[in-house]
Amino acid sequence: MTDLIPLANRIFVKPDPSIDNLGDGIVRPDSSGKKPSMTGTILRIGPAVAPGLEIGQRVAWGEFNGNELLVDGQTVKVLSPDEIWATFLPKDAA
Amino acid sequence: MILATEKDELIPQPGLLFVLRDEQPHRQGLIELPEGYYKNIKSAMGTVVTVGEGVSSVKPGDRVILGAGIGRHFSFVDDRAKEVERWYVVREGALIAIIKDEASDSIFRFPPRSVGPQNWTKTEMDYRDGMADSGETVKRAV
Repeated sequence: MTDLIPLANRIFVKPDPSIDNLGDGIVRPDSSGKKPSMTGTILRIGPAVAPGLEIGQRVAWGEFNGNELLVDGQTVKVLSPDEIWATFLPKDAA
Repeated sequence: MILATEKDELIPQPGLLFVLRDEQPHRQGLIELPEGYYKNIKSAMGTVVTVGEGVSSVKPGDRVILGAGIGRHFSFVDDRAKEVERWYVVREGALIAIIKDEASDSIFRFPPRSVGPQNWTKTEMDYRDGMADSGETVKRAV
């Protein structure tokens, strides 16, 4: 990712692939009501974000929360801490 | 949408909790809606699934009454992207009450089998008007 540094309390997240893209060979067109991903992995954290969220942590947010940036052809979700509703248990603890 | 297989790995952020909302009252048979009636009435009650750090007034399994305008949720889907469950995301401060004793059946039950809006009580009218989610309605219903 281009060297974008989040300011203030913004958090950059790499969204997981959409759940509609399940690798089952079925191509669902956008008109099918395909929904954006609500989960992803934290890429970068702004300086004003309170401790508790970490780079590499997997998180979940509300369907309409945040904004999106297209950086180097990759979608980056821009969220504030209160738009993140949950974290996932670390893989080794799950 | 989140895969249902991942739901047990979710931890609410501090101050938040997840609630499994009850089935819609008319689907439970608690009330009967007249023909052509607005069917999107939601139950104001639910069961706490899990709580985030700092949430002290409720614990998983508690039965609660939700506040107004609760609509934020996680949709859990199966591998065909079909919704199989929904958890509402609630701030602790948005809860109206904990239901300590449901056995009495005295809380949030409407007179059974109403015959039509002309005979409805004030509470039922509030309910009809889509205010069933509000604490005010719940208080009047008790």
